[in-house]
Amino acid sequence: MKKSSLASGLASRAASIASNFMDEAEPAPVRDDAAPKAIPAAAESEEAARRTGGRPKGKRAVAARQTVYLDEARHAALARLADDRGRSIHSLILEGIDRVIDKPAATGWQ
Amino acid sequence: MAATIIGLAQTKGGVGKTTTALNLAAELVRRGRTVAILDADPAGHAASIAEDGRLSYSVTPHLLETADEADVSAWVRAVRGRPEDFVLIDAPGAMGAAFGATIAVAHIVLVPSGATVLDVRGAAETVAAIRKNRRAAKRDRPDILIVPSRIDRRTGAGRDVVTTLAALTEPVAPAISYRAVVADSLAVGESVPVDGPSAAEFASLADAVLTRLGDQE
Repeated sequence: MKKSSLASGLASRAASIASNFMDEAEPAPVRDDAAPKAIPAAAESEEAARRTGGRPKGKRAVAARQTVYLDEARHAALARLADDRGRSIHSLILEGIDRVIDKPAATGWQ
Repeated sequence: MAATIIGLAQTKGGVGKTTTALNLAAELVRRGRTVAILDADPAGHAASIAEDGRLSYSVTPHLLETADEADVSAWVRAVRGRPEDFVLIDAPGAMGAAFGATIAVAHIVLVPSGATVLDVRGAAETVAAIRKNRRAAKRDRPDILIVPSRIDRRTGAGRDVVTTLAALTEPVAPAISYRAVVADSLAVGESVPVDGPSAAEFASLADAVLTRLGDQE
């Protein structure tokens, strides 16, 4: 095993023990994405979409398909952000477009 | 009330962790807060600078060399038991038990980084380790603040450093410039002179840290 992975393993183990100790001493707020989410069936998905205002999975209205060419820095930044926030790069790009076009939050913005 | 814990971590050495810790601590003391620095780096730079007794806060060696449960628990208990308002932990400049424990107990981790490729690579590795720990522990904290450190604005890399570090997709603090006075003051066991431009930069850093912590004084 490489020296760096040994050190990294040591750091992870110490972090894990320390985190457990901190949890005992002071329960931390649980992240929204902590609990594994079950994949909803289609009907449940549509019901959930109605409640939240989003589109059900697989039923996004697609008007156009566009290939986006990203340089390495932007792609790496998006990948890190997606990994950290538990989202897809696609979703982040849509959010970016919404910001650029100043999409109002209210329905009927189109 | 338990102390607010500020970790200083970077897997690359020589980026200004100890310098940032010592001067940030001095600024917090100037604002009327009680502060302690725990030196978790076996090199003991912070503790040796404090030996002259000219600093306005205590610096205590606080090493952790194994990841045994008993050792880590005792280390964490000692950190959490400090009576000061702020505890700054100066982590070693390499992965290891003290590095892992620091990022696990801290409310916010400051990641100092220069403008060089190696510094930025170390910062990216550090940020990845913190994110990994957050995911494993299912916690929101520690918050991360990248601190551009030892920045020479006469160079292109120095002028572009905020943009470069922003690619790590974490908040970037106001930059700390490379000045001889910073190294000179530490050489005589003191923080930077309060009326100089470096002190103003560390004051801006303190503002950023307190804002991230939701502490508006």
